[in-house]
Amino acid sequence: MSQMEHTGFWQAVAEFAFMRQALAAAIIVGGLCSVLSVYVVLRRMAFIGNGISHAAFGGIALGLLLFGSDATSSLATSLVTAAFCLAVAVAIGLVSQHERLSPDSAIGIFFAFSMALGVFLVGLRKLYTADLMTYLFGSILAVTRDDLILMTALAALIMGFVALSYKELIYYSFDPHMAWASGLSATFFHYALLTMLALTIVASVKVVGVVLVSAFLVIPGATARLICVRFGTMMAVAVVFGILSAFLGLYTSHLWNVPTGATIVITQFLGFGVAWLVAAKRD
Amino acid sequence: MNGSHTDNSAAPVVQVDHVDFAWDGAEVLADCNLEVLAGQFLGLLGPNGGGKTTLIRLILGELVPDRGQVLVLGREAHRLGRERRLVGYVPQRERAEANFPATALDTVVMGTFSSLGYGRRVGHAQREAAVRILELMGIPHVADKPLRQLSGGQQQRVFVARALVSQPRLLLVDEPTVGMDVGGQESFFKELKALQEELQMTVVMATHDMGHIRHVASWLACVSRQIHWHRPSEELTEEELDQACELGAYHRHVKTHHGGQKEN
Repeated sequence: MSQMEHTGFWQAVAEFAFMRQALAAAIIVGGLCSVLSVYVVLRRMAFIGNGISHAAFGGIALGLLLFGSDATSSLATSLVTAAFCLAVAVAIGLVSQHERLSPDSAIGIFFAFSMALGVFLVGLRKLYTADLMTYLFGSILAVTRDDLILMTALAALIMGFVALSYKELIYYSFDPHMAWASGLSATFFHYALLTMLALTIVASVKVVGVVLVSAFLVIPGATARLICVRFGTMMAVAVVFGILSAFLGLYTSHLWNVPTGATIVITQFLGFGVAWLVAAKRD
Repeated sequence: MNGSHTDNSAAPVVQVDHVDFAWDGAEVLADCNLEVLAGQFLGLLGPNGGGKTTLIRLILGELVPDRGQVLVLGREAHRLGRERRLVGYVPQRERAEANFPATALDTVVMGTFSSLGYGRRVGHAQREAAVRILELMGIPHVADKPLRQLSGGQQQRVFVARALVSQPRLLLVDEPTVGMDVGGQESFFKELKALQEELQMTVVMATHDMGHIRHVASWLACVSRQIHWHRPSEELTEEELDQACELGAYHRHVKTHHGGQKEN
């Protein structure tokens, strides 16, 4: 952002298409991740979110290897990453259904394998590592029009499913066993949540990166949980918090010329700290 | 959601037919036979580890018998699918944490989701039904309280209310009074009996609380690896009731003297 150091935030948004795309991307990703974070927190899926987001690294390396790293191949890379994350999510789901393995073992295994595969593929073809750095820590200014279209489509798909399955997802998050006993398909919602998680990570990874996206998938939900006693308000507070922190993070990163993904995570962390103090004082 | 539960008043709701079940090769139930007719309140007695919970979970369809079959409403229990909404279930201890962001009323309303159908929103009718069940359970005043602010007994009543709100034809209850005080236990059994009669439900309840269950259940059965007896409660002799206790003492004896290994 060095060329814009003297430009105000709104002026930059008015002048530059990439700034408008960055703002739209931050808001979409901030909102989408916050919706998922509610289920991640209630279903204790923080570690699996972490596992799938790191799996995205393997998928991205595979995509870059297959399609190269120019702007036109960005959509193809995203699709390969989505397929890879989905496969890992399903594999974690299947392996963790084995009686003798706990889910965290399955996650730990696939997490490490996917990262290793990514590094292996990078080494194999001597890929230009700057591209991978973009995916590891995110680069919101590199978000293209195609990326934004993909993000919007994925967000619409996921929000639509969440709206349709709102009550079923509540019961499943509360108690999968009792949801099953009442006649709902717990297996379906188990895989539906994993799929949504994988797709959300794919939609977000270019903005925040593989390493930081798991924070987006935990902090808004955890913050809302601290101050809310009902599911509906928890969801609303998480989404407002996610969008607001994404905007504030982008604004601050522009002001101080620092990486956006990291700034949003720090903003969210500060918000979480405030909520924690409020909750501690109230209880 | 209404009416259908009054049909077939004498048809068997539960049929357990020559059922064997083993956990990791250790036999828990062997050649069990049991029939529960519509409108019956069956109490399952027997020692801890005798297979009461396993039998409940077989009827629920969560477990599949190694041999024989379990029929619920004429269909194999583990293949009920969406018809599972006709079966209410209250587990021994709720696995969900009471920390979930929901009030007592929110929790009871969850019981209506399955019969409401996919994509449909909860409306006035569902909330009314939930309020009414909370009234029948004697806890209307906790409706708007978060779950975690409720006592163990109140939480258990909320979970029973959730199982009942969709008016199931069969209610399965596993050791409901664990964690309740004595006064709470007595009123709980009375309320459940009144509800069972009002909703004309069939109830199967596993309990070790012989003092209360014999006054509430119309039938009793003693489960300890097998169904030792299964008879109307008024016909039972004191000796038969004692047998359920003695089997418990026998099990404890075997566990103490054989390093905790199962006796089969």
